[in-house]
Amino acid sequence: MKCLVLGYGYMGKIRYRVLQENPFVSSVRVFDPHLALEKELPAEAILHGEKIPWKEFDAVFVCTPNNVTAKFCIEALKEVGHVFSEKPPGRNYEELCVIAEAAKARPDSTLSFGFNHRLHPVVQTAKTFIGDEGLGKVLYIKGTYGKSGGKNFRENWRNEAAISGGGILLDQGIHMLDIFQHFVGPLDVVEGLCVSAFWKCNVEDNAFLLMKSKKNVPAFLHSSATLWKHTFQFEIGCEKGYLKGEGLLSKTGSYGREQLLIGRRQFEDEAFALGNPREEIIYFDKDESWEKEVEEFISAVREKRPVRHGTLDEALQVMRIVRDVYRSAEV
Amino acid sequence: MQSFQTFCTFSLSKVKPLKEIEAYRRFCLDAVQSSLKNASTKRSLSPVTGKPLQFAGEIEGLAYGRCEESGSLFLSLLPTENDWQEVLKKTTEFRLTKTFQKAVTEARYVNVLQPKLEWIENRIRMEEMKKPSLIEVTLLPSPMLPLFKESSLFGSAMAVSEETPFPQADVFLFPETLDRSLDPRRLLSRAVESLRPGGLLFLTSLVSSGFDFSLLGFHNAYLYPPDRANVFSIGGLENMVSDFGLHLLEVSTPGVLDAQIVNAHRSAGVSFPISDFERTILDGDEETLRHFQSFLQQSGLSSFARIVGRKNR
Repeated sequence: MKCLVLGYGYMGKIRYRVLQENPFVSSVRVFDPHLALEKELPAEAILHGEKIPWKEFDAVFVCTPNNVTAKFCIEALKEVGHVFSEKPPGRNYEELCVIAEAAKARPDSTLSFGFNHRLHPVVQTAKTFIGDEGLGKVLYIKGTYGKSGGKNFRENWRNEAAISGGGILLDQGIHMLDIFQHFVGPLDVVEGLCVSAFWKCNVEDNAFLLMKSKKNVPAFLHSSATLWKHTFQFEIGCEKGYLKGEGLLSKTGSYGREQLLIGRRQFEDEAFALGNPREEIIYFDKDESWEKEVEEFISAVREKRPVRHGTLDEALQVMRIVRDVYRSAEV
Repeated sequence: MQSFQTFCTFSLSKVKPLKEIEAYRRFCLDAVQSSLKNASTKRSLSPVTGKPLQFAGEIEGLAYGRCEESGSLFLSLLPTENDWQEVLKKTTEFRLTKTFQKAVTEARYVNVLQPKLEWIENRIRMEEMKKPSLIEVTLLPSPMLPLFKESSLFGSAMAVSEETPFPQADVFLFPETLDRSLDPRRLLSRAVESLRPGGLLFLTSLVSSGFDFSLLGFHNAYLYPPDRANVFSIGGLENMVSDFGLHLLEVSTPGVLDAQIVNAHRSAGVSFPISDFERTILDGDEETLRHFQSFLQQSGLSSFARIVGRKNR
């Protein structure tokens, strides 16, 4: 397969590397109008000013700022067909709906979105413990996902509403929303609160969401750009035990060691002290989420089937939550 | 590859009390010494590396050789296969009729057997195996077998002794089986051959690289054949399992008894080299010992090891 990567920023570089390593990808070219200098782009780049030779490609990876994601997805769907887009899938729910319409016009195409966090080992492993043969039904789920921002955070395009469409919830919290829905199915917003507590940009830097699933499982998310200690945590309470996921394998390791704590429900007859049950922690040392995502997309294209994750429906569900929170919340 | 840590505290006295194993240990040593009178062969090469073993020490005249590369320890003189099976049979009978293991106590069930079952069930769940067949290679009767049969996760479960032919299975369990095998490499080879593609091998072992074995050395009352004819290091076990082409899914040392074992020996008046630093830690309060044990677990330095390997699909 011949692939085109649109946008050669942080995510574009990751996708470029992973595609080069995929055995079914024969060539990868890059286009990024903001990187005009040849030395900033790999040798196979399409330079600024050149026309994109769409017909050359079998699939397009859209790794652009949010304000042009929808435009490029739609054009790529029309010109090429198979499209993988980074999250968020547009600036808002409405832009995603337009992408969805374009996808409908190409029923032969594969469309997928980059919610890679659900492919992290901590999430995949946690999922195997839920259910009748594991820890039982989910009673509740809660999570915290946030970062500190950094020195130049205010100037980042992700904090400019016109470009990004939203703040930390859209940028990062959206991953946790996808993970929640992976565990308990589609969620509806009960109440949301968004504030610009510290950074004073025209987007939120903290979002607090209370949600519930179709089976009335409560879910709570804190998404933040003022967590001075980078944090990724989720907790799932189940009938027969509980799971606590923490940390994310990443280049900097700033989110801590990726691990899953599994605890069992033990009452007085089983444990030495009530409320102090036996626990076990699994530590993970390898993250293959980028590779798994691309593998699944490429396989779906080759096998002419829908993708198994990162689907349009999943993206629509997540963006609907973000829309509902932004509508009801104040910044 | 994953590593595990457990937060589970229980007392040594509830699962393998030092005082109570003395009679059993005596019986084992006598049985092994007796078996060597008939015929014996010298084990001069390491089952891990194939390289010559160096003399490491002895327990009442029973010498152990050390694999310099892996740090594993192996009983140097071995009886015939038949005599060894006879030793295992007699010592098992003694253990099950005359020691603290004559009944499966609640403490042993809650702290040893149930966690072992959960460990295997969790992994089967993580690997998304559906109703796998399980074979436990162990000294019979197996206290785990009723638990496997009760569990809804297994298609079938059976316990067999080392010398019986192995049928094909999806899961093999070796609970300290390699520790007492005359030929652990051959045993492992047989199991891997009988493992179906994608199948799992679970093994537990007491390892020489762990804290209590490292500190106590040959003063360790829990070091005696036939139960510890082989004392692999964690690295030695890893290498041996990998040698047979198994992909390692877990290598962990989630033991909880290292500090307790060393302190039990100190209380019993056993004399062994110990530094001031080690003494300070071992004399620490409950919280200190808990943190220390946690450190041992996280760092792969506890004496109880678990390994899970998967055969290629």
